[in-house]
Amino acid sequence: MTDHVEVRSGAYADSVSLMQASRRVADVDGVDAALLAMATELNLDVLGGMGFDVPSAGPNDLLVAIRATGDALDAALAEVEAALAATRGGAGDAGFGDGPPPRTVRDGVLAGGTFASVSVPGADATAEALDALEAGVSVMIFSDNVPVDAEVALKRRASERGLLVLGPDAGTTLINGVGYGFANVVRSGPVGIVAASGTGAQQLSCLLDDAGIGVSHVLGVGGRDLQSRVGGASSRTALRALDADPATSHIVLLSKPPDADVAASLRELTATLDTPVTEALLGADADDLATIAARVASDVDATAVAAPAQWEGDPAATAGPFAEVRGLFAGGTLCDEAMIIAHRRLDGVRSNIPIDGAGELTDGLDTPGHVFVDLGEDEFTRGRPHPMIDQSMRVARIHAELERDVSQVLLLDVVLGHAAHPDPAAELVPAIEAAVASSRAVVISLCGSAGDPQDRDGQARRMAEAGAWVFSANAHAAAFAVECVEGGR
Amino acid sequence: MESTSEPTALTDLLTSSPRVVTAGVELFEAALRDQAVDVLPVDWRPPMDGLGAEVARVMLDPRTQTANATALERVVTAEPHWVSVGTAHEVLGLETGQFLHAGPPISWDEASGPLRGALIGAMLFEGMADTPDAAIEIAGSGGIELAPCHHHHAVGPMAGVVAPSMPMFVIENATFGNRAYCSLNEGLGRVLRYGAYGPDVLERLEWMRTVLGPALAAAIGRIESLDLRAIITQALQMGDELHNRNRAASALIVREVVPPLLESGIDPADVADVVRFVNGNEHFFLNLGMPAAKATMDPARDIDGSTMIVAMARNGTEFGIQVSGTGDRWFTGPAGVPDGLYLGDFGPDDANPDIGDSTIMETAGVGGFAMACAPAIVRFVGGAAGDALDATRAMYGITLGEHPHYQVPILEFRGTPVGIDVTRVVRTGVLPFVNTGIAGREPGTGQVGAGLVSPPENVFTDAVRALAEHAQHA
Amino acid sequence: MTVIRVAASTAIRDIVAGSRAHGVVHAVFEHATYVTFAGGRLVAIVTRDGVHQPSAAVVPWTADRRPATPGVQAGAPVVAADGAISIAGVDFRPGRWWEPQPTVRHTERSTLANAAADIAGRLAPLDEDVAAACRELQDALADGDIDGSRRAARRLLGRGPGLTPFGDDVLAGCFGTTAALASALDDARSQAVSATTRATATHILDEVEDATTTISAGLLRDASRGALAQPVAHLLTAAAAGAPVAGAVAAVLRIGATSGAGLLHGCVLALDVLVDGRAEGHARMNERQLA
Repeated sequence: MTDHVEVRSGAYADSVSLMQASRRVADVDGVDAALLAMATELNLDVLGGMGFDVPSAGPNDLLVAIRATGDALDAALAEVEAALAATRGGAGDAGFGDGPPPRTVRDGVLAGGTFASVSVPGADATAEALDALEAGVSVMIFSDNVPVDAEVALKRRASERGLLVLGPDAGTTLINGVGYGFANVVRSGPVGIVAASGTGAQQLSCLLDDAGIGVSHVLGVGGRDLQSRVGGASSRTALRALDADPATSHIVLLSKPPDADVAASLRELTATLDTPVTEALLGADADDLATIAARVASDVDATAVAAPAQWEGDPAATAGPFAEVRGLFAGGTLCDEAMIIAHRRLDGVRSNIPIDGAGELTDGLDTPGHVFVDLGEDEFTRGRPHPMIDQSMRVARIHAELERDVSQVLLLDVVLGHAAHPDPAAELVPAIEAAVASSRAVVISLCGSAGDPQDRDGQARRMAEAGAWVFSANAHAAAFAVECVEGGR
Repeated sequence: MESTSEPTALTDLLTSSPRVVTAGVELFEAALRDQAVDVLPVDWRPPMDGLGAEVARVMLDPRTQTANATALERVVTAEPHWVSVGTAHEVLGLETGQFLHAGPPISWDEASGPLRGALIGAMLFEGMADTPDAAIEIAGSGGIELAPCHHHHAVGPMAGVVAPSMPMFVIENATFGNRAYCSLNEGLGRVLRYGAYGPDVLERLEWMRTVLGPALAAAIGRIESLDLRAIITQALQMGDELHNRNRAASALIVREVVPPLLESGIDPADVADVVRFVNGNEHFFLNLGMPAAKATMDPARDIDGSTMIVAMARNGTEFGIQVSGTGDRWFTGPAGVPDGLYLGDFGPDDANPDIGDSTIMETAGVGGFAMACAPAIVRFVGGAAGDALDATRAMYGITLGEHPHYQVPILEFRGTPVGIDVTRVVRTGVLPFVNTGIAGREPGTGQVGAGLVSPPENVFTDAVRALAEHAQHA
Repeated sequence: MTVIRVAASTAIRDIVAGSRAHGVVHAVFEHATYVTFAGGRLVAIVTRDGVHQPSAAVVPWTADRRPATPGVQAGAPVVAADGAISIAGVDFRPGRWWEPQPTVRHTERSTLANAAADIAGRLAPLDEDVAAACRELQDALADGDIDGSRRAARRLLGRGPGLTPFGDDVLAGCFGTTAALASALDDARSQAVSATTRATATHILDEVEDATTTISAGLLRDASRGALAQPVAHLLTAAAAGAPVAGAVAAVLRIGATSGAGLLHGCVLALDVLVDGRAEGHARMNERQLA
């Protein structure tokens, strides 16, 4: 039996709490007696009465007295710390209503958050994202315009802490059935997607869903992740996380054209993983997303049939040839993909985000010829809602196109899913009707799943009834538009 | 036999049902709610002055997190003890003609009414002048030397004027060995610290110099030292917040000093006067609490990269702050007029702009930050008891941590919010909640009320800009 | 009408999306409110931190942050119509669906055999009576002996204390595993085992009225359709994918006091039968009983 008597000065706690703490310590196996109390005269007497040596101490001192068999003392002292910590209480505000709402992500995480989603302006997003990481949770940054050095620093912090930074500029993420940013309602399944392209990931997950193949997670790592400055930092973490995830048995790494060194180093990583990884690196010479989706589907299930849906519009309206194709896009990757397909067969393709070999716009949106515009770029969205959530900019643009006295194919993407416009057809149908009435061919790339809240098939039918040709695969929509121009329909 | 190298945080992320903290576009928050997700929205607003980039630079400074952890650790492990009483000349080396004052540096010409009044009184007290006019003449012609209390490890309530022969409490931080100093509290009403300098004021100062100071010196000498952290801890649980309410702490001091006073051999009549004086002044403890807070905060100074505020102080003209990572630099802005209750016929027109070093209490995590401990005084600021809770709860959002000893019973004994992070003030726009007394504008008036004061925003934005300039690159 | 979005198991899609169905609140607990519908079907409205039962609709809060709503009491009427479940003026409307089944489409016997061994190694031994009944069930299922499997299942049914008796947990784990994974093996043996198991389950479900608790009976009914509590579905996904099972096993063990362990014993039993690992299964059963 050992007696341990300790005086802690300035460690005040109220007597009720200390009585509870004493009981906890006394209950430790091997503890014969324990007293935690302020060293008042009364308590010093009690201590003496228990047979302990009475130390010199005053009422502002905390007494810790334990009698235990040798081995139990350490356990008892650990219990003292735990019991005293418990007297300090937690963050509970029970019974007094909620406190003020958190003003920063840190306070949200401290209040029980397990993941953070940040969509504040780019200059302010770094602080909120860093809050999440320092408080121990992963974060999705939807915001664009986050400086690249901040992105690098955030991702370095994340990897030091075993956390994941999704974004910045991550349009889409889907984790365990929950969509963040813009995401589609797709079935659960074995395919995990690491995506440095938001609409690309949406297109791929929807096409897989149509083929009966489900998705475990879509981790949007941000458009710059595979560029040399960022070096694939989040892609690495995401690939490892999906590799360890039991629900994921196939991984797709989807990116706009990556830096060659980054791509090579990621390839080294994927070679070490247990889970097979399909690289889907988009680019002028690469496969389109419909082809990739078909390949992934058959890799996962040899019996799966990738048959992207299409809805026929007004046959009379598509009898070409047409002088120009006008691509008015909301999704950057979809715009890119359509542009690549068009550029292979048409001369003089121009864009605000031109691929190699295509030209810059010469007169803004009024640039004549084959034009592919990403209307989701900053230059068009500043102070206006993104075309993914509001069709008015594109409706206005369609009417402006109709003013131009030239034969045209209008090619538009319509993106469905969480956070997208609840009923884009309602806004687009009158414009489609007007366009068809003005002898335009209208081709819609409809990026959505059968389970999306907008009712994809209903949306498609309404637009088709208005005369548009609707395709669930963007590549097919683009190819169809090109065929119209060439007069092949 | 299996790879378990993957961090559990990510496994949890991919397998469990989340509670998502959202900051920014409401559309995404709504989309999550529609998916039956547990959402915790942040009441986000743009940082003051659009300083997002500067805040990011400071937060990404690789030193910041560790520096702040160190600063907070020093603050919460401090053990301020009252160890002795001595004159300012003895303990600070103050010579005739030298005076300390509250707040950031200021000259006689810029000094407000109460500060001038207190300096006049102090010159009369030191025998430098026979009349107020003579004192004004001396001060106006450069005959006195002024320095902030904070530059001498000292603090002073309201005008905070310290003269060489005034007795000072000496506080030692047992953990770090540093000391802090403060004059003795004169009581309420017409007193020097509010700028009053009439004969009654000077008479009381003289009694404090000759009777009170020596008596307290003898008392503390007998018990050697008194643990102020323990007193503060208890007082918070007894309804004090230790800035505008010091009633419990003052009573606890009486309990501690009476026995040694009785044993000290001092004339019983003097002992009775001393006990009556201390007992009759429910703010007596403020002048112990402030140097305790000062002794607590000083070790947290000068930590490169730290964004913790180590001093907030007002001189009646300007409100100033000092930040750990920017050394002795003061960031100042115009002092506001407190909003509160006024004594008798006084009103806002009689009030001087905010004054005093007593904001060291909020800096150290009590005062307004512990308002939830002191619902009894919310009426000072025209509020309800719930406002006291809200005030403290709001302060958690701008502080680095919670005090392990100073607890708020009504918040389930949660620690008080401590360690104001200047970047969080700028990010949230939530200003430190500062309780204060209100001094009369005219020299010689004294206290006219008590209430709340809002610090000027620019002191925080200027500090963040300065931190950003010196931030190391991530 | 207050609308609360819930994350619903696809196992209750037919109830929510079907024509008007009437039910009744059966029991109210801190983490779950159980509702029964015609045919013994069970729906659990559970909190985010509660067990995501196979037929659960999960509300977006934890038990300690329940919003102040009028208390629902057992016996209250429930209506499922127009895509929502309505109780006491509150519409619980799915905003998201989750799968109470493993999402793996194909697997191999060897993969499942390894998983069975791994899971079994993490379980505490069964007591003699239960182990004997399990051996009997295992043999009968493997031999296609429906009478034998019925007898063995009845020995387990309702056995043990609690809301879901331990024996029922074993049965639920067994029925659910077989129903969920037989098609992923897609061979004659697993089809046969699946048929025997289904017949056994049907028989048991006809008997459950008085043999076990209503909630346990509902969970058995779900299991026989291949619907499992989410942690079990995650475990079977990992097992069928050949992924590490340690984390998933730990998550299942957190279900109830002993329910998780019962479910896991049932899973192992079924996996052993499916991969024809009867010898291994018996050896393990003895080990688990003797250890």
